[in-house]
Amino acid sequence: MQLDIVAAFFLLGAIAKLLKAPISMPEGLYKSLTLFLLIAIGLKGGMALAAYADINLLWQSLAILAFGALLPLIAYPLLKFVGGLGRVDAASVAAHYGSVSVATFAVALAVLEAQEINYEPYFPLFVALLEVPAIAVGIWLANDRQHKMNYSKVLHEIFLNQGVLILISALFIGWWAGQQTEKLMPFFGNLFHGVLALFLLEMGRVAASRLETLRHHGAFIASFAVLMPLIGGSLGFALAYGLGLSVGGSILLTTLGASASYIAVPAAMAVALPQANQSLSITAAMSVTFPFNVLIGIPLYSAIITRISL
Amino acid sequence: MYTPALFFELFTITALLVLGITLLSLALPGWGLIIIAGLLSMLSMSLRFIKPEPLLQPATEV
Repeated sequence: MQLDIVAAFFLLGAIAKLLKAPISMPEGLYKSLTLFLLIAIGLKGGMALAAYADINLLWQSLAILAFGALLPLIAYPLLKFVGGLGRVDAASVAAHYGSVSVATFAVALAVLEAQEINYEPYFPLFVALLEVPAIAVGIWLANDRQHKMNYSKVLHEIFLNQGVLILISALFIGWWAGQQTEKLMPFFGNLFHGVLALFLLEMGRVAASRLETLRHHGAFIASFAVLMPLIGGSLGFALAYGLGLSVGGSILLTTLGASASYIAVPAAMAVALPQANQSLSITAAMSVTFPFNVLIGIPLYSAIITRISL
Repeated sequence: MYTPALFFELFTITALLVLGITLLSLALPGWGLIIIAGLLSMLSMSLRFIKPEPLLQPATEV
């Protein structure tokens, strides 16, 4: 099992932080890199949608939406009844693990391209679809009937937060522009891996900086943050098998099932569930699950699924 | 002392170990899971050692 080169930059950022080496990135640059990745993934997916969309994609999309709604329903009882978290915190963490990490998806894409494994090119559509249902389910699980929620503000945050908006917009633009999108590929296509490497350098640094907070949350949340990806990934693989996806598509859906959001969902939860402990969910998603998937999970899923398909 | 959370941690560690060893026996990359199991057990033990369980009943003043 070989670590992909972009994952090595994640390790570099984490080790640098742990050794207190002064590597840091201007916040504006980090946000720009995030925008770049979202647009690049969306554009490529949109181009593919223009070429490959058919009725099967509709059924697949519905199944994907159901999958996104199922994951927090599995996570919530583990967090509440086993971990002893309060209703709101359990719902918030569950929503994070029901949603997806675009960065993890980007790493999986890089691994597939390095190994020359084909995948369904319209997969970014599934990423966009998986962003949302878990947030809605998380809010429903946490909903206190006595506390009136500002639904318009919540809906605004769910559908118009930067991650979801940019990804869906880029998908739409790629679909609408079709072949014209090729004009942008020298920038968004050729620079993808380099930008991802820089992004992961910063992610490694941020993930390592949050490790200290694990002490305050106990070993349960760290265990959950490792086990839930394996549960979600297994279910993702089962769904991929049921949908008849390719080997690459199966690896991607497994990775999406195993990932946890730490960009779109925290923003939505901050509005919908302000009383939830954000530190708990972001630490689990960013400091445990993300490194687990990047360093161990994705190579593992790829090796197992490739072996099964032989 | 034996809380559901502790059982969950033990279950996770055991599952990771079993899965890791099974994968290795199939010539698949299982070392990562075994290492994670080790890290989780160290975390679980160290946090319980540093942060002991609170008394079930508070001491009463005489």
